[in-house]
Amino acid sequence: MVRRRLSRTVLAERWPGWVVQALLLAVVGWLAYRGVVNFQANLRALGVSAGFGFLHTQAGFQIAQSLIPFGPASPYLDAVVAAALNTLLVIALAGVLGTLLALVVAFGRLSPPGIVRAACGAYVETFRNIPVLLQILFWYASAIALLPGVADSLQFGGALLNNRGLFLPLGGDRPHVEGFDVSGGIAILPELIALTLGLSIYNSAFLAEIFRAGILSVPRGQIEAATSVGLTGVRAALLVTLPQALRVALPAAGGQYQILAKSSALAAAVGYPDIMQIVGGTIASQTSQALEAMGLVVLLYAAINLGIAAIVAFFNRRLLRTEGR
Amino acid sequence: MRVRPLGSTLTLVLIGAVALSLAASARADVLDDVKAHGVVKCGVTLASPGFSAENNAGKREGFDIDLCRAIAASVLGDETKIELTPMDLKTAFAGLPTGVVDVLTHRFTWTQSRDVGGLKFPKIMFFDGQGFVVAKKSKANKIADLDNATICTLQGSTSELIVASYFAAHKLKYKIVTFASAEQAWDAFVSKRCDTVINDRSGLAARLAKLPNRDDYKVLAETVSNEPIGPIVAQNQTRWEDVVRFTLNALVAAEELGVTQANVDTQKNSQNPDVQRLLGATGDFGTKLGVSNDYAYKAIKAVGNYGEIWNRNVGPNTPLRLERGRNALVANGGVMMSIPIR
Repeated sequence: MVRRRLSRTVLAERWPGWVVQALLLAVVGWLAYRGVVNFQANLRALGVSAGFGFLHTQAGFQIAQSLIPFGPASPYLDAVVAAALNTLLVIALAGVLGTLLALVVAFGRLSPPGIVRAACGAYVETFRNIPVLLQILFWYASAIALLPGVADSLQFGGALLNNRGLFLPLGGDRPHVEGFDVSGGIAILPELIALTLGLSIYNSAFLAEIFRAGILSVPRGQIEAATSVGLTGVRAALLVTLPQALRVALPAAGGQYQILAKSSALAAAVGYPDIMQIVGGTIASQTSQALEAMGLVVLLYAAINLGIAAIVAFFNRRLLRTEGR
Repeated sequence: MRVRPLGSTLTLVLIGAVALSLAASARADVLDDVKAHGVVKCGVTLASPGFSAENNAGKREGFDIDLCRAIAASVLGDETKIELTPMDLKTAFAGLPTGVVDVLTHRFTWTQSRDVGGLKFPKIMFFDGQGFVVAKKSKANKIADLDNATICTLQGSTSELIVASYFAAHKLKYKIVTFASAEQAWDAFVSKRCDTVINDRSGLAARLAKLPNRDDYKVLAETVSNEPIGPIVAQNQTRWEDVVRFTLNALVAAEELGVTQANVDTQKNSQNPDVQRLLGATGDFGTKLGVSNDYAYKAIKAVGNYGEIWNRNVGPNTPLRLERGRNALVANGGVMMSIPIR
């Protein structure tokens, strides 16, 4: 009986589904293999690629801002790590600031006073429609042009503010002017300030609309029920509206955070030492190994974005469990 | 039996796969490519007055553009058959092996790591050095006064490394801000984000030339490095490397022998054996390179000799007002000399 079924299969040319899939997989796998082999042969012929050994050689340059100890004697690998930390820092700062701004503007657009609604609407339309690079450059130019020079630094508390940055006291270490520059304390570069402002304001305009869509999806009955148990105003918004609004808003907001992470690469335009500038710029040209350097850049940004996606997916799952209807 | 559409799809996929796997691998010979396409693709600086900048009519001209025109004249016989691509540091080095450009007539220094890393430097056409520019009001008169200064520079340039090693060697502290383009670095310096800019002295002169208030700035006297600058080609292209080298070499030889754009036609009948070999009246130096025997004649007719290129773009009568300095001929006290054509 098996033989008859087999011969019927062969004669009738009816291929079971798995055979077709296996064949397709084999073809794709062979294409990929050929592609990789071809790529490697081309690289050898061009003499362009030489591997990642350069990561252990001395960098020879300094980085303007580094969260880990770094100097010209450190290896390139440390430069990559420092650059990655700088990128994560600006993404975190811009993400938090952008989210706070977006929440304020989103609720503002839905609040009773007409002038508040109009102002928030204007905010959204203005900052959504100007290219983000222009916004970052605007903040950078303002920061440099409007802030005083080192000699006339603004002082408040123990902090100093001038066009070289914002210098905050660290414990007993108070910033003070020394010759050309300011010594002591923690320096926040004007590049970081400009990049954070530009990215957070631009993305807050989009996030505000995303959050507004989420807020509007919460049935009016919820707010009325909240009022009936004595929750009004901000407390009702935070405890009742927001969790339910996030259920709708979080997937889209997650995508916006990824856009924020990717557009942080514009740091190169203002001289902030992030992945694009240090790895894709300095390391790529110092070592002449543009291929490996850009490969690292792609990997790092992909890892950051996948990380953001994973975090968003985690919170999404939690929200569905608690707020799911 | 009806023909299974899936079967024919699979067949097409298989044929495509075979075709892809047989596709050409390495970049063919650049010299043949250039002759076949009839155009020389040069990568140039985005905006460096005197070297590569757009004039008021929007046409790009400068020292580096003239070198590109000379190569086109010698290989293709027509100096207008060039395609200029302004590139920054990042894209320039990747553009050579992938064929986006054939040669970089740019402002990049010849360094050991760049050479070993896959770029070849046929001939030094500009001996430069790095220097610092500060505001005239600044208290700094020499580099030792720049302790704790903030320095603006171009990311990935040799300047970054030079600052690190020079300041470490002289035990000076500094802060560095790097930008993606020399323009941005300069703008940051002018708006006082930093106290000084480090760049090739030719680049500093070019920038100062553009400023209406150039007297508010001074270039510090010290030169901190050697910057041999010249065209760059991809590695493993010996024929193309030789063509670029000896085309530009001919321009220097022409100045040594007194051959100019104006008199090159009459010089073709010269009795001087050096001039005869240079212009292709005797010998087969051109054909051995893979170009026509009068390649040097065409190049000189198109752009003039080295001195004429210098005077036209960066000389004392231009806004840059550069002295020949190291770039003078050996006979005039500099280090510019030609490889003998024999």
